[in-house]
Amino acid sequence: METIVDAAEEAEFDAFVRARWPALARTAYLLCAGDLGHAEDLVQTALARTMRAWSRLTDRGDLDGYVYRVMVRTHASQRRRRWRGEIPTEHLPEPPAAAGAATDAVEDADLLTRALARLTRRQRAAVVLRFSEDRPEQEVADLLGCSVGTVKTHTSRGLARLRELLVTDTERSLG
Amino acid sequence: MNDDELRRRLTLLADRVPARPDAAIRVRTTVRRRRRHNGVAAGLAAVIAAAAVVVPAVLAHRAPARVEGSTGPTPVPVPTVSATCTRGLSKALTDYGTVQHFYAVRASAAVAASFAQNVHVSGDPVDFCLAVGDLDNLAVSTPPGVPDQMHYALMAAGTGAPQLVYASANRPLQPLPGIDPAAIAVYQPTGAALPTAVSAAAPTAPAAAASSSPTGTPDDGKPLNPMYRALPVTKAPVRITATAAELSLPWLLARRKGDRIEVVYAAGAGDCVVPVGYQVTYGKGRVELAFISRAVVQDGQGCATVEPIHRTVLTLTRSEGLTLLHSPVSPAWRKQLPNPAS
Repeated sequence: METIVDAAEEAEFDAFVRARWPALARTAYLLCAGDLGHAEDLVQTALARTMRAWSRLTDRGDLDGYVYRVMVRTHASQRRRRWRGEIPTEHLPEPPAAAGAATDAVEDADLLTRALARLTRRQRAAVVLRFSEDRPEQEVADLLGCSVGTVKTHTSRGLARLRELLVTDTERSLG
Repeated sequence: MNDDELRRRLTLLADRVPARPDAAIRVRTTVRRRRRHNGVAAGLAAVIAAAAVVVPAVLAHRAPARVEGSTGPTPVPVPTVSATCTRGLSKALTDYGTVQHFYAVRASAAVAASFAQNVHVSGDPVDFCLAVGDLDNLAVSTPPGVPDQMHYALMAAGTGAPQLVYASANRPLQPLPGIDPAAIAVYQPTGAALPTAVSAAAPTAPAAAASSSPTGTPDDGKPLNPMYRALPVTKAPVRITATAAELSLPWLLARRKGDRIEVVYAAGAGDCVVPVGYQVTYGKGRVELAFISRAVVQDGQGCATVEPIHRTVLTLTRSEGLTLLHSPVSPAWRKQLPNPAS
């Protein structure tokens, strides 16, 4: 099995993880619709696979691309795993009570995560990579392993669904 | 909600993700856990678990070992042999005290004979089980309350009961009042600890004792950690001369990639036991690897030491299907101790 063998490579990998973990975790968090545990698992999985392949990743300039590819495709391929617990619900169990900036922020985040969770994984990935990462369509297509046209379709449908859900949920939470 | 508003809300949402300063450790842990789970490689798990390391390795060129940098032959699968630390041997060794690690040791008959002078061992190579830990029951003469450093015990399976082949111990004599902290505790064949200085030529001299840190074990009771240090061997390869002051310390094979092996090994900290290097001895069908430290003995007295765990990568380049063997721990400690359990 290819893996890291020497101390220099290990130090290099550690430095890479330290530098890139925050950005990877942010993206994974959105891909996982606000499920932090699942997001961190996803990042760890991507980095673990990268670690195992480290010795043969000779193009260090494209490491980021490699990790993102692994992460996005791993996320996309997990669609059959139901244990992740992303179960969309029609109504919040308890509508938020108090008003105020902090509460609004929490409420807004909850609405957004709930809406993201109701998108398909591909739609969610396309929306997150396009609008949170600001990646061009061609790059998103490369990460997702599909055509630019497919990315456009996922993005368009995902955005439309997201807007619809956010409006509906906001109206419902306001009462 | 326009695109900019969506970007802003996604950014705010992502801001909830906490920092993880231990991210690299998490990833390593994940890799190790999955390796164990998949049974792909024992790797560093072997250090923590009670098994160990003797591997047959097919190697490529006839040349001395060197540190890093060479290209080697096509790697072949390396099965890990851990049968030497059988349940019976492991149990017998745990009767001596708290075992931190078991090491499966396989040595050539010639090397084994030099260790097992008073115990008959047969076969070539010979399998041993080495225990490292706080093995208080190796001797009964150490006063209660004296903190222990590391003990080693090597046991072989015979036709009858397990045989204790040799043992050694470092015992800091502080904080006992009135005892010279520079003294060495020597385990004689009888198993008695002698809190006196020994001469440099004494063939029974184990690693130095009497810690400069008088409270507790050198690793403060923590288990040996293979990630403790990652330093290359600086003077290698070396030849062992037959002096009592040169000590072969435990090592474990952590990983193998092609002809490169990653080894976790103990070495003196550099004060009283000085790391010397490693020795690779090629024989017919086998290669034996030893990590050598040298005990500094002046005016007939040793002094304290700790033996941190290091990690390095070696390149073995001889081909011909050699078996990688683990030299027993210390040629200087080749004294039989009676097994108190027998």
